[in-house]
Amino acid sequence: MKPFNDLYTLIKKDILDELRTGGTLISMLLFSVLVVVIFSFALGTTLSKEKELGGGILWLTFFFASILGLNYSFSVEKENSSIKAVMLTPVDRGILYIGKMFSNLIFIFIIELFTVPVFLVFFDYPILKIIPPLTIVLLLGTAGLSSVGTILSAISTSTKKRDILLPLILFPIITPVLIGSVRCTGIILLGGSLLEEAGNWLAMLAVFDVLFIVVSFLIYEFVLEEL
Amino acid sequence: MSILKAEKIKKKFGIRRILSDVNLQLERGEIFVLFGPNGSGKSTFSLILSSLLKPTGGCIKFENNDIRKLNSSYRSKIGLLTHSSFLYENLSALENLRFYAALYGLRDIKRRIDEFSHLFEIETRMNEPVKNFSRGMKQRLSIIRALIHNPEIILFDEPYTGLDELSAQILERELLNFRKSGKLIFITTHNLLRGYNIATRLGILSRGRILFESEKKNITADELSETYKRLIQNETL
Repeated sequence: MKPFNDLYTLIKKDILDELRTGGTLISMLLFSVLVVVIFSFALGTTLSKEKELGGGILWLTFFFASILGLNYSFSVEKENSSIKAVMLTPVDRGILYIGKMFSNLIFIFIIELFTVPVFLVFFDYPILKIIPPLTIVLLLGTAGLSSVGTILSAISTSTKKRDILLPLILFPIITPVLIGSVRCTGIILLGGSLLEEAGNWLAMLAVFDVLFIVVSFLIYEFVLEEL
Repeated sequence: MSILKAEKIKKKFGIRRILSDVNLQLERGEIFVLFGPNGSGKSTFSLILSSLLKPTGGCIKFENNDIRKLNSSYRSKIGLLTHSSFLYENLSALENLRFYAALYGLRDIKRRIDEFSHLFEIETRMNEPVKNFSRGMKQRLSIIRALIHNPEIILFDEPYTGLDELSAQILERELLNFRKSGKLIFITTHNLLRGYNIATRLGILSRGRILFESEKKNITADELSETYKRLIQNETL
């Protein structure tokens, strides 16, 4: 039970910190909604549907919005070297990673929860038909984004130019997840069947998620040593 | 048998040598105070003892076992206080203490927090965010954080920083209680008088080497002060 209690404590602390400041989540949300609204006016509903642009717009919005949250997630741990005191507790280092990953996952998912309905309304998609299959893609894509984002955020937080470095190192590594998510989302938005038409992309997303989470879990201890 | 043993500890940051072959044996139930000027390597040595910093050479042994092999079982025995507060600024004092107590798996969290907050007289400000605290208040809270899990080894780096006289006396009284229950207390400071008063054994570190080590009963405060000045002056010449 201890690992679950530790996870609960770590995630609760991150949520409490965010509730006290609120700045990061609000910035992420404002950015996401603004990007979607601007694209809807720039491209119009017809063009975006014909060119299958919807998936790309949505996932690039989530990618850049998540950078804001990921940058903050470790700067708060470095502020008073709090992560060092956490490292002295008997909590397994892998659990520290999973805790931070889940916190980031929750924050990014909250952004998606607000942004997706706005996107579907502004681009005139049938909300009720799209939401169920899109939720599966959002879960898999966001898990990939937060798993790699968390470990790279920990690595970049020790550098002076962390705000610039994180997107630069995250983008090439997360590309397979982004491509898979964009393709799956595109098929759903065009009215296709997720399992029949995007089954391979979905499987690829799941494989990359597992791979990223396992590798990050294993190397997190060494990353923490350098913080 | 010594509880903690530092064997030929070396530490370099880049080409800069911070510690050179530091050997030290620490016993249960003693308060070892390490004196030294700024930049002598005291804080680095504390961090190495805590396992948070890896030495370039040598090893730390806890009850004759290399701490690199003990991992979490050793870490949970450490109560560390450093220049950094280790506190989350946006959380309240209570939330900070609850967070660390939960990670240590403590059962009687409320009782321990109430006890310590009363002892260090911060019980009326427990619901305030840490960012509103003065340096002294943060130091008191950091001390509680370091002691909340009843650690076997207490490593306090410059614990008097920011503390007023009353808080320093409370801290010393608590450290003496911890000593009576068989804990090891290791303190680094450049405050000779305070350090001398609380120590059972003491040492002087300069330029990464321990130049002097003695039982407190073998040296007076004045002799310590003279020895300190002489050794530090010789080192800087």
